[in-house]
Amino acid sequence: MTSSGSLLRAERVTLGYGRTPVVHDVTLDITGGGVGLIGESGSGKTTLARAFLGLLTPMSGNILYGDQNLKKVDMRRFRGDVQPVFQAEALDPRMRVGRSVAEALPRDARHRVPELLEQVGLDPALASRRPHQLSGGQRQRVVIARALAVNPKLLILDEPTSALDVTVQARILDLIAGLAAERLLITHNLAVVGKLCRTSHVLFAGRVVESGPTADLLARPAHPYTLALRDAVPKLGGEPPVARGRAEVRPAETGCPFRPRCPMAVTECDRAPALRDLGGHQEGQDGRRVACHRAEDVLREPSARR
Amino acid sequence: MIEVRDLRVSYGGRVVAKVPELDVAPGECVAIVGESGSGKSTTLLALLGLTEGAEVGGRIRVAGVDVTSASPAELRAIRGARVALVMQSPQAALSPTLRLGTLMRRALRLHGVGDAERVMAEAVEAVLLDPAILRRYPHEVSGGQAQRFAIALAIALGAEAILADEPTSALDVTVQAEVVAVLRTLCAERGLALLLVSHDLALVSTIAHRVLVMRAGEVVESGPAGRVLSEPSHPYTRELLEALP
Repeated sequence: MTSSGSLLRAERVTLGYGRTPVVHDVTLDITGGGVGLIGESGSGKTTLARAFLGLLTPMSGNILYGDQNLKKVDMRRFRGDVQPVFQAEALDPRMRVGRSVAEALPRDARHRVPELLEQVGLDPALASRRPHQLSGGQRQRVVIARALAVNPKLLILDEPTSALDVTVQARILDLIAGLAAERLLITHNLAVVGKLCRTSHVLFAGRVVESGPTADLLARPAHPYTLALRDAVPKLGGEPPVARGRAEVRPAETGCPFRPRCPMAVTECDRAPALRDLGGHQEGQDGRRVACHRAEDVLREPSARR
Repeated sequence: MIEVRDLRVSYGGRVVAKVPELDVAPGECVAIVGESGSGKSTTLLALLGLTEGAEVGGRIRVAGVDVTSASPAELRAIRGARVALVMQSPQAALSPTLRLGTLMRRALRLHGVGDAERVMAEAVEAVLLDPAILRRYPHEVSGGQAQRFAIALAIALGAEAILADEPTSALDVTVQAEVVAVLRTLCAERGLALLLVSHDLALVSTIAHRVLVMRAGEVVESGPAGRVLSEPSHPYTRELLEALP
């Protein structure tokens, strides 16, 4: 734990590939109860996850693990504590899945393979199969079993269910919810975050634009982008999903990056908004932070309330 | 527009899809829902005679053509031009070396559509794309843009029906909302018949007039979308609904 009570912490982190930054000056804590990172493709979610896993060194800023800079942490120990769960395509197609799981275990603990497969709801007899002989849901369970092999404290899950059918997705989400390990969940599906994460952060164009308790964030979005994401999710028997603004429009280079897509943009938005505490401090607003000049107006929008 | 009776698709004697009845009228959206392996996509492909190597029985009439007995030339004449297929990953189907405009122009010429520039401009506008997209290559556009381009291509060719197989499941929710809005408008305003294959019941409930629920190759329930999704009579439909996050 860091002194702020988080398992991992990004402190003013800027990340990029080559000289091009794609995540800008992000400060974010992974605390208990599940943390969600929400955003569209290209918002920087996976890049941030890679940095949290020590797979990408920040251009500036620090990733802290237990009050220690991740650069100085013993990676062998870290890998035992923090494990990734990517989409099931990450399994070696030539390797039997039992061996895939065994590989993650210390040599003297390889007898635990059946136990791990059972823990994720798989028949241990499937250990002799290769990935292509399993269904998508079964493969995803193998990926989770592999991650659990080292008894990690934290799982970093990147779109763990987005390639799965709804019924299979529901079972995998129940499995994840029942695990003892803490979790950072990366997804573009707000409904999934609502189930698994106490806190969520919304990323747009590599910046955190809104943070707070997930339930409150989804009930009353204060950033027009969060509102757009929420209203784009189809609801059973509900109105057709709302397309607010054109998703293909490029983010602005200066000022508020969301401005070109924002239906509420005003002249003030030429100036980049800082991430600030949401005013009012009404009940349920604790810990809400937003980067929008018009957040209070967004909250007053009748369509923003649910 | 689409009329199916007693459809039965099998591979080597094993039945993979059985659909007793499926009709899609102009301006109507019918959805087939179910999990992977339920036979939804097979049904869709059978409508265009694209189930190679399969034994197909029953009666399939699409755009006035009897698909089961049609000649290859008759099938080619309806595919693309009168009935368009929109897949999950349109980028994979677009030639990577052709600009989108060149690609659309070629398709129009192949199907004998005249006044190409005007037709292209109108089609691109109907799906809310910037006309500048026609100068780009497939890798230079996003998934949502590519999907809307695939729909624009169908409109340009004068398609009366679109068969869409999970057209939005690879897209972000915001982009999905845009593609769905385009499809709804085309049904309502242009009288397009839409057959949508999806595993997302919430999405289906916002666009489809009627729903067929398939499981392991069989239709287990069908009817008006409102009724099937609010008062499901089959346990499998209920299971699908309960699984929604």
